[in-house]
Amino acid sequence: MKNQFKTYSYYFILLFLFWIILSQRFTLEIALIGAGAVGLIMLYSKKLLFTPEETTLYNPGKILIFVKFIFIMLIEILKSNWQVAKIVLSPSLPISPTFVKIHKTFEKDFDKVIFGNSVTLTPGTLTVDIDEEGFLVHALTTEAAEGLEDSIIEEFVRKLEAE
Amino acid sequence: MIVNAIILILLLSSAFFFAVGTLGLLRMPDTYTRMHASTKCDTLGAGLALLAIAVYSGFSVISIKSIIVIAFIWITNPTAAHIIAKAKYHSEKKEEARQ
Repeated sequence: MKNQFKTYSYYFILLFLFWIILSQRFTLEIALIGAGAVGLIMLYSKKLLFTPEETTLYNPGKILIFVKFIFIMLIEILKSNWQVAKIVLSPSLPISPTFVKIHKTFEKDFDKVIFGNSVTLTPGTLTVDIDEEGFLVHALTTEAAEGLEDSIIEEFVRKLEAE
Repeated sequence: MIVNAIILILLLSSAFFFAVGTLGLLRMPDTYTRMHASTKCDTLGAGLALLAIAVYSGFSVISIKSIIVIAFIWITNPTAAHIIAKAKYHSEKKEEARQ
């Protein structure tokens, strides 16, 4: 019960802030309509909300780690784009596509999603499939495949996962 | 003046990355490698264009909105790429099993 209350209040704050940003001004009328709409949305999508068992982001300490992770991802995205641009623009097209299986798995689905999406956004790798054993990743070059073994993403997702 | 220069640089690099993404789509040999080019470059291209809007409108609700749009694009784009790659992988597997 207490956990459920935590989940609902977290979503309420998040969705209400989003509503205020969309409506561009703050009056009593808008706040009331927003509160009603947010309540209805939460009632309708009750099953979609993340419970504390599914994600560790309800912990304020984790949010700081997450923000730091976002900044590191920004730099990785810039690097990845630069690399892909170099490969695409070079006349010989130096690619050596391979499939690699990464034997790493995370307990929570939320962390799996973060890891998979981050791998897709970083240099030369693309998450293809996920199963119980790990992630199937397609790499544009063999160097990119080797770089995945001990990446900074895994370090951060492990930190997020830890209780 | 300086703000205009920043906006110009952002828009030009956005156009550059979109062009590279499209060129990659045309030059790469198969589905997976094409996904590499189109996901990465489209993410940064759209991100830079929206960042240019954010810089242009200064500190206002519009810039917050465009940053939220960037966040949504950066969550959904890799997910879509993953789904396309997964569909391709599984249909290939099925094809192999049939033969």
